[in-house]
Amino acid sequence: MLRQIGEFYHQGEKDDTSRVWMTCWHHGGRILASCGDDKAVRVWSLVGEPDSKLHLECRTTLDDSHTRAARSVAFSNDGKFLVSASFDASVVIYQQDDGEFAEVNKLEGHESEVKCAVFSKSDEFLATCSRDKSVWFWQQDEDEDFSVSSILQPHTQDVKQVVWHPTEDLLVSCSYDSSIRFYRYDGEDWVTQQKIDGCHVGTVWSAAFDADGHRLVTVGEDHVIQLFVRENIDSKSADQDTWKAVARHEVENTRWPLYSVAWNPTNGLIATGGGDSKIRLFKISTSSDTPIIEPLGVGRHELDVNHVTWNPNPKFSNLLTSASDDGTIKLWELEI
Amino acid sequence: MEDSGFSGVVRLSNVSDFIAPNLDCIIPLETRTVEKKKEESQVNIRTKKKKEDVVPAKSDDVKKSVKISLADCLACNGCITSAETVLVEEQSFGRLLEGIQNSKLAVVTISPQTFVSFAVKLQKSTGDVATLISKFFHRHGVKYILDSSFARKFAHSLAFEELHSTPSTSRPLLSSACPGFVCYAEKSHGELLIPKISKIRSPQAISGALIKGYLAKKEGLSPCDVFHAAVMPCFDKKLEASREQFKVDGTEIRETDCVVSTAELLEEITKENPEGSIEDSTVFEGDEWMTHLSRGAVIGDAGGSSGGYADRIVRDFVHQNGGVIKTTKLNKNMFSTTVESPESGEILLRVAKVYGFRNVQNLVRKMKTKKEKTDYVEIMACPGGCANGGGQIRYETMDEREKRLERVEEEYDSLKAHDTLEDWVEKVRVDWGKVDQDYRRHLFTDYKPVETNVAQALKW
Repeated sequence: MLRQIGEFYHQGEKDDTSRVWMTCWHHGGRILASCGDDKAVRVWSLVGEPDSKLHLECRTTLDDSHTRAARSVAFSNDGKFLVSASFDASVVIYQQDDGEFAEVNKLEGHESEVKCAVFSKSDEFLATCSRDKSVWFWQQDEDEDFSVSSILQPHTQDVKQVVWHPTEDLLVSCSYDSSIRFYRYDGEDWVTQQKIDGCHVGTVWSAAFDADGHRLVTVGEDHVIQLFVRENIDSKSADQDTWKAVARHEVENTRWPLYSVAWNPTNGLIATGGGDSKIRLFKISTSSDTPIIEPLGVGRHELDVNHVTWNPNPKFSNLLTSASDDGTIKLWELEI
Repeated sequence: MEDSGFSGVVRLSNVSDFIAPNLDCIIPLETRTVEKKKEESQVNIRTKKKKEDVVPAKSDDVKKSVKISLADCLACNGCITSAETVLVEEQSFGRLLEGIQNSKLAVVTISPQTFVSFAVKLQKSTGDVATLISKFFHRHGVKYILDSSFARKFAHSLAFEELHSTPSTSRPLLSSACPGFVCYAEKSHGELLIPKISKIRSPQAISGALIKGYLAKKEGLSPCDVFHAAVMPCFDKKLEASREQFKVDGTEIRETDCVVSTAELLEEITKENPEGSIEDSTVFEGDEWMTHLSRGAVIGDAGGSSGGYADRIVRDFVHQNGGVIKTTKLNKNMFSTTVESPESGEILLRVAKVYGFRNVQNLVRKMKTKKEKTDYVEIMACPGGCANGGGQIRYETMDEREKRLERVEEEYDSLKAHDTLEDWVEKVRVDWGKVDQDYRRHLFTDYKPVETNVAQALKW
């Protein structure tokens, strides 16, 4: 099902590995950014074609922005900016200029380690979350600087990840407090739209929306995959709607958390990465009244898989990237 | 933690310390237990004693400390720190009443925001509320009820002079009345912000010095015989009261012994006097500034419910230099006022009001990149300013809260300003100078940066 087609060391040298926390694709699918414990962000080019020797070549290393591990990296949807979030409590913005990236801004304010930073689909907002239990919304102002739009603290513990809805200004946050929260913009401020407690037994590590934004899947410390759907798809906009849990699947042959989940926008397959070094594939079957989460295939790293992500370009829709504690970024091809 | 009474700024910036002392350290190290302070706040530390490592505790040690080696620490926040919650629990209403009983003279300072909060809740006039609250405290043995607006006038009178002597490179000068902001500045961005905070004390601190320094001497008492409590719109004022800088010179006696919030006072008054009715009057002895509240007269002041520092600066400036005043509202919690030269239109003074954590963050960012051209900022941690402090009377729904907040602001603005206030201040100032030549030092304070959490020192 999943065939490994490439393995690349984030830090370049096999004998000097350090954990890779995350990878993120540029919307065109040809550029990848990675970040890790070595405090650096690297930008890679995807070279080759789907049928012939696809591989990654490192183009840029950005290693003097952070003083502690770089935990998360993301491109803006227009590809103009790259944002990295670090344990040093700062968020750094890099701007792209003719293929080269350079640091243009440092956003400080979080009290402790920033776990995630992502741009909204329209790039109007940047959301960040931290161990300080808060979620911050930033906006770009006239001086090309970022100012704080709202600071919310509805979680009672470390916020692990924030994810934007694919089409609307709706954000979901996942936390160590076992809950997820949804946020929307009321014109002046960001407000909490819905709170769902007890999504998992223990930390909710990651969430992903499907391509339409009608469904949401979350994974957690209890190695369970939880599926939620919007309750009023036909009558309400996503940011005004509420979500309810409809299905769950417990991965049985493991006792390790699932750290990351990604939903393929083209073929609807779901990939998870976990503490047991495995990447698992699932699909949602809607053959009966209630949706069922069905396992498909498995891939392996040497150590914990921290993050999985699908290539957003339909041309590379079968391409999956994974980041691991073993210091590698692996490229996988889906074989159906 | 949402409605704990602290400003959002203190909650967010003190998050590492801000744990209820109920959590266990997740590492079973060799530790010693801590005595229980109250029934609810119990700390459990698993002990693993090794004979050679156990240090015998001194017999007169009431509080035993906890030690964890840095190398073992995961910075999970499960341990005891100087948790402000513990500090704050000391300042309960029970302690307040105890303090009054154990003193020879008890004085209470009440903030004007407290009066209007009560007025809107009980649907009474502020005058009636002043009488109600005064009677409550008098019944419990308090001799004088003071309005913090009186102490605030001291602060106001010094503000413009301070700004005038602040070079433009050291501006913007930031108001010092909000303890939420001061705590935040000392913990984060200490280097950038501390030099810019006004050194003038807050009204509560001035009141404390006035009472334990001036009033105590006048009544022939020593500071340890005087008990000073304050009723304030937020819990952050409790932290302010326990600052090192606000202790009577050469002693461990606090100038303000105990602070309770508006909401805590309402709870107590309602217990005793559920109808909130007013009883008959008595005669009050003492100078006007010490008795006007007991007689139901509340002092107002222009400039909004957060102390009117920005407005006072503008007024003093225009009084001295003339100019045209223009105010713009940048957002719900941010106002900018400029004074322009009527001939050239050149901007002579820029003053701003910045309320709420988000606006504070944005101000700090601008200050970091040196893009901030304002001369003075009235900076408050709570959105909505002090009228919306964390300790003010809370309502159930968001809608109600907003409506009531509007009413509180209106009520505050409608309080009549007394010119006589300035006269009283002058009289007391002169008298204080006679009693203590160096009294001016009690109108000022300083700030110290605080070490942040241990995790920053970790290597990963």
